[in-house]
Amino acid sequence: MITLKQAVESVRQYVDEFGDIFPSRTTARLEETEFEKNVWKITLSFEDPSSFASAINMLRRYKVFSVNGTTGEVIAMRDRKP
Amino acid sequence: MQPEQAAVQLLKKFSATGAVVDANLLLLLLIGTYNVARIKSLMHTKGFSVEDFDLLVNLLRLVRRRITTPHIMTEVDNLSRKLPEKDHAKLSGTFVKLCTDQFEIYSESIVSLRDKLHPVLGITDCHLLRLAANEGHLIITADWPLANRLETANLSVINFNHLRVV
Repeated sequence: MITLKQAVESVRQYVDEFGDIFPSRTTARLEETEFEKNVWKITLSFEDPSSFASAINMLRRYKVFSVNGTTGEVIAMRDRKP
Repeated sequence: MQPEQAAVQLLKKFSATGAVVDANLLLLLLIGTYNVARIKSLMHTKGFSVEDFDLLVNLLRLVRRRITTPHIMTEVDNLSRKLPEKDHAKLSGTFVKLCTDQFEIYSESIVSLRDKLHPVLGITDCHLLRLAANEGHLIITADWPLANRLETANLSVINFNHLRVV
């Protein structure tokens, strides 16, 4: 089983690789982690520069990444709605 | 402000009035206090590390008044029993020591069951939302749906995941 740090690192590399999908990837924040059936599910949030919740707080978008618990490969990504 | 600074500010602010540790983190606290090596052997804590446990312990040092609910205690008790039976006696002793000074707030389950958010959040989290909204308590959780609800409603919450070093 890979560690959470390794799983998050895989997600970071994935996000960097698809940088055009994640224009605000430097604002990534870890929101939730789960490990079940040898899959890490890692929820990250990203600031959404197109919308402001207030003058100082930007709205965030949420994505959950599924990472193979043995190989560390990112096997799925989907939007997560609050 | 960095999440660590914001969390410390909140913990100091709520030190006397009280903070509620959600079930997932209370379970980590229990298992880690019992035996840190067991964190990785229980399904519901194996996603955490010894560093996470140490971080949680350090955060809770800033809280003088720890609040819980019967729902949280029951969840933690049930989940901790997934450890082998030979551990149960010592685990029970650890649980007693850990929770002796907690202040427990009771609410009838039917109130949470009637909450329109019950299908989404469940009994435990519906009660936590009320504790934050009506009694002004700080909630410490690693559960994103709950943390997000609280944050969106401008209630006091620490999402433990924001503080983890990964």
